[in-house]
Parts: sequence; structure tokens; C-alpha cells
Amino acid sequence: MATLSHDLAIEILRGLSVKDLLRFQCVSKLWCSSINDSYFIKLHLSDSLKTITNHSLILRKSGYDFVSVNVYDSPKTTQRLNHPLGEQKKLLKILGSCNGLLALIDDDNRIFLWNPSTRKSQVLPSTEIDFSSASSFFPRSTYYGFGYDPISDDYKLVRMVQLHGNNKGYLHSEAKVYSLRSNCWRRIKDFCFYLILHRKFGILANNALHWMVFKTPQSWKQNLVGFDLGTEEFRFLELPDLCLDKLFCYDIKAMGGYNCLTATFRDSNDVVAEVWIMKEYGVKESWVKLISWNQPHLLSCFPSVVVVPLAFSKNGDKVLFSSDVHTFVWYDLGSKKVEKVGIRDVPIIHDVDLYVQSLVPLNSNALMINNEIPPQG
Amino acid sequence: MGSTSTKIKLRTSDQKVFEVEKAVAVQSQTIKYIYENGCPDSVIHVHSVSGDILSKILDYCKKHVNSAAGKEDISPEELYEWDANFVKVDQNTLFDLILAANCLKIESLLDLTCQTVANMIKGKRPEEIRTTFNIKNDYTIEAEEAVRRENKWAFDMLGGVGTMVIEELADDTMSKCVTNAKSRVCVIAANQIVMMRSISKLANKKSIDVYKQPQNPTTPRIKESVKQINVGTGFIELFFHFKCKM
Repeated sequence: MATLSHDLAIEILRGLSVKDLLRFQCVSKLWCSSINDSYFIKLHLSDSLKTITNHSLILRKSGYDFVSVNVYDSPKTTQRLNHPLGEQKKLLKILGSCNGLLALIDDDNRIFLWNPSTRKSQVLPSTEIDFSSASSFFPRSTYYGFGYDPISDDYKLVRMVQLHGNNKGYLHSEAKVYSLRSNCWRRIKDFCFYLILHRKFGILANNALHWMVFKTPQSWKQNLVGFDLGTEEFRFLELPDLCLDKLFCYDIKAMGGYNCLTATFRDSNDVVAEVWIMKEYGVKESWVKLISWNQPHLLSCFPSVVVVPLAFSKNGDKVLFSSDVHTFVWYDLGSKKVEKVGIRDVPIIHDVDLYVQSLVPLNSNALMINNEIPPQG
Repeated sequence: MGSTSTKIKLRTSDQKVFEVEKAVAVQSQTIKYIYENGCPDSVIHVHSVSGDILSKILDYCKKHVNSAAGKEDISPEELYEWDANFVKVDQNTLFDLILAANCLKIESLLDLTCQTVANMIKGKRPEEIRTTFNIKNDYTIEAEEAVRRENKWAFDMLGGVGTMVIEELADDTMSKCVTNAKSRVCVIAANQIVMMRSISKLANKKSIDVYKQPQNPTTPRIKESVKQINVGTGFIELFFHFKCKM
């Protein structure tokens, strides 16, 4: 009987799910070390990303549970996920999702990293705000972001804090970056723009994290700022010139690796949702209007309901939107027809993000075993 | 030289000679390299490939070349179907195809055959993998136990040969289960659903009954229906819909 070389066995292993691979660590020591090899893990991940396999939506239900929904296959399947903190149910919001790792944050601002496929999780060390006075009295904005830096091959989490003083001034701005490799925080150069909302999570695209901010306290128009995960520098990116007439709201998203802008226009007769894509990173002229979707049926809805684009279909001909709190639709870019995604038991959704199953490991020194946080220091 | 009707001669390990069109033969990067760098008139020896395997490989290459060149009116879906049928062979042949595709450097065939084997081994237990790949278990009992324990949940609900795994079922959802069982399917799950059927019977049915075993043994078993059955290459998909909570 023909025997395959180990290299060919690896070629075969690339096509397997994370669960199968975790189990096959038991086949032999060589298989175990190959499956845990960082090169193999990257190969497996890049295969999944390229062919959009092992992708699903991860939803946070009301309550504490997370559910993974596979919208790419037919029929759609939902799978309840083991809560990262096990039995200690806690309300966790999804801060970011990258390469199979999810960053989650609780009400006490404790941050966790979780790989739902390998079922490993870790808590991030806490870090103070470097401001001496009784900073807790001042209103503040805290913006976060999570992503991967291919240059240092590291996963980073960014936290920006801005304390607001009176008269639209600000008292303190600081930015810190957490690195998974070193499992510690470090302060970086202060940023000089304004955060208005209480909390925001960054959008990951082009190896950078993005938020909408104000350039000066007096600005009325929001600007897009990007944080390059490699150089750890901020830069402003120009948005397309939107027709301001009837513009109701706009926001940034990421889709298919591109920065994406959603703009909703409302008047008494119409609701139009536009989706723009920045084809070439940093180039204003490269913003292209992908979709202009007329949705008069949303007129009667509570004004803040907008449709949110989530992902492209496998062959890029459709866009998945979440529309109100528990409906998903596929919008066909060619025919402009809308197809409801029939998922049974889609709960009321609070958070939704895209996630890919991967073997990406966390920091082995910081892993939570049996949902207990290891001793610090 | 360079016309499309140029032929290349290939001699296999068992001394069979094949004469093929250059366009077909150079699907193999190895043959392409030898042809472009060696003497184009003499025969190219493909030492590690037998006549039977090369014959199959040439069929594959010809099909793909013709379809790409538009010589054959075949849609991408039909080509995909053709590929799926192409790999419906016994394991020995499949492995031989992988070895040959690797040595001849035919990337698309290597991807196809490797993915076929991947589909075959999905859901299997480590012991079965060792048999399939002829691998010696070099773990000590303690070491293997430790690895198993660390990923205990990945082993849950794996029964004997022919066990279908239902993962993490939430009630009232459509769930998909994949098994690569050969003869009989035994279905076990977190909420104690048990079903035994033979695969051949499953393939012909439009729906099958699944019995839920309730926690309380005195409660009668609840019957559910499997709504859809797909028999794939080396696996079966069953789509369940559970109507009621346990």
C-alpha cells in the first residue's frame, strides 16, 4: 500500500477543521508538532481566508451566550458556543475579531481574548490610566481596537482614553498597546484628535484599525483615522464626498478586507442606504459606491434602525446585511434583489461579527485553565 | 516547433509508453521543465509513476486543458462534477494519485486529491488515522492521555466506527451532522439522541426518524425527523430540525 510522506500528510491536514486537527494531535508526536507549528497554523488560516471556508458569523445573544451562524452553507446552521468564561456567565461584548481570535470586554473593562475553535481563553492584564488626579471624576471616552500586525507577527490591542474637561477642552489623552507575544501593555505616542462617544470599537482593515473621530473639539464633521498596527502611527484618511442633503447618518465598517462606509439618507418619502468601498487604501478617489439601496419599508421604523453590511458572499456577488435586530439578508449586487437568510432561531442580536475558525494560539503563559485566571506576575 | 499538435512521449516505471499532446503533458510542471530544458525529441521517463496511474492522470490533464481552451463545452459545475467522479477510487489508487501529482507537480490535481482524503478522514479517531496513513504511535500511554485530556471536548461523542457526531445542538435549530461512516450510523448527541441505520438505507430515504432519549428514562422517547439527507464522497450529511425542547 502506498505510504504518503509527511509533507503530503500536511497537505491533507490543511483541509481539515480545527476540531479534527486538535484530535489528530494524538496520532503521533510528529503530527502533534506539525499541527502546532506556527507555519502550519498560518497556512491553514490563509487557506480558510482565501476560500472563505470555516467562516461564520458570531452573534451575542441577549443573556450571555454566543452563537455561531454559518451563513455561507445551505442550509444555514447555528451552533451554540461554550461561553469563554464557562459557568461564570458574564456579559461580554465583542471588541474585535481577527484570524479566529475574539477580543471581548466586560462591564468592568476587563478584556479577554478567546479562540472559540480551540476553546482557549485568556484575560489581559489590567493597565491604569496614567493620570494622577482623581481621574474618575471626569467624563471620558475609551476607544479600543484589536488586530494582527504581520510585521511583528503579533496580535495587538489598542486602547485610547481621553478625559474630557469643561468647554469642550480635554485634560488627558493617552494611547496604549497590548501585545500578545509579550502579554503586556505599553504606552505609545499621544494622539491628537477628539473622541466624542463614550466607547467605540475599531474597524480592522488593511492591517490598520479605524475609528471616526473629530479633528478639533469644534468640528461638526467626523473624520476617519487609521492606526497602522505595524508602525503604530495614526493617520487621517479621507472619506468620499457624500451628498449632505438628507444625510441621516454614516459609519465605517470593514468588508472583504476593504474599508467600507455606510451612509443612510432619509427624507419623508425614502430611505436610501449607500455602501462605499475604499478600493485603494488611503486614496480618496478610490472610494467607489458599491450599493445604493432604496428601502422605503424602513420609513416607518424607529429612526435609528439602519442596515449594516457584514460580509461578501464567497464569490463576491452578494453582500450580507443585518437588518433590524434579528434578520439577515443577502443583497445581490447584480440583480439588486434581496434574499432573506433563513436561519431558524436567530436570537435578538446585540453584537455580530465575522469570525474564521483557526488554530491561532493565545499566550501560553496567560491561558485560563478551567476558566480561572492564572496568578499575575 | 511549438505547434499545438506537438507530441511528447512519456515512459512509465513499468515501461509503458504514452504519447500525448504537449499542451496536456505540460500541465505537469516537472514534465514541462524537462521538456524545455532537455532534448524534446527523446522520451521523458516518469520513473515513479505506473502506467495505470499515468493514464488516469493524463485523462485529468486532458479534460482540464480542453475545458480551459474551450475545446469542450463544459460548465464549471460540470467540470467540478467530473472531478468529483474522477476521485471516486479506492484508497490505494487515491494515494498513488497524490504521490504522482506531487512528483509531477500538477497543483490542481494535488489539491483535489488531498482534499478528497481530508474529507475521508473528517471525524475519524486517531487510531483510524494511524491505520490509514500507516503511522506508528510513538506516544507513551501517559503522554497520549495528556494530549487527549487537554482537548477532551474534541473527542466527545466519538463512538465506534460509523458514529455520527452531533455537535453542540441547540434545540429548535437546524443542525448539520457529517459522518464518514461506512456501513452503519450510530448517532449520539449531547441531548441523548440515538439512532441506528445502515448507510445504504439512508441514501434512499427522503427522511428518517431520530429518537431522542430523554433524561428521565420513564418518559417515552420522542421521535424527530431528519429533513434532508445528502450522500457525498466519503460522507453523509443529515439535516435535523428539532421541534421541541428536551
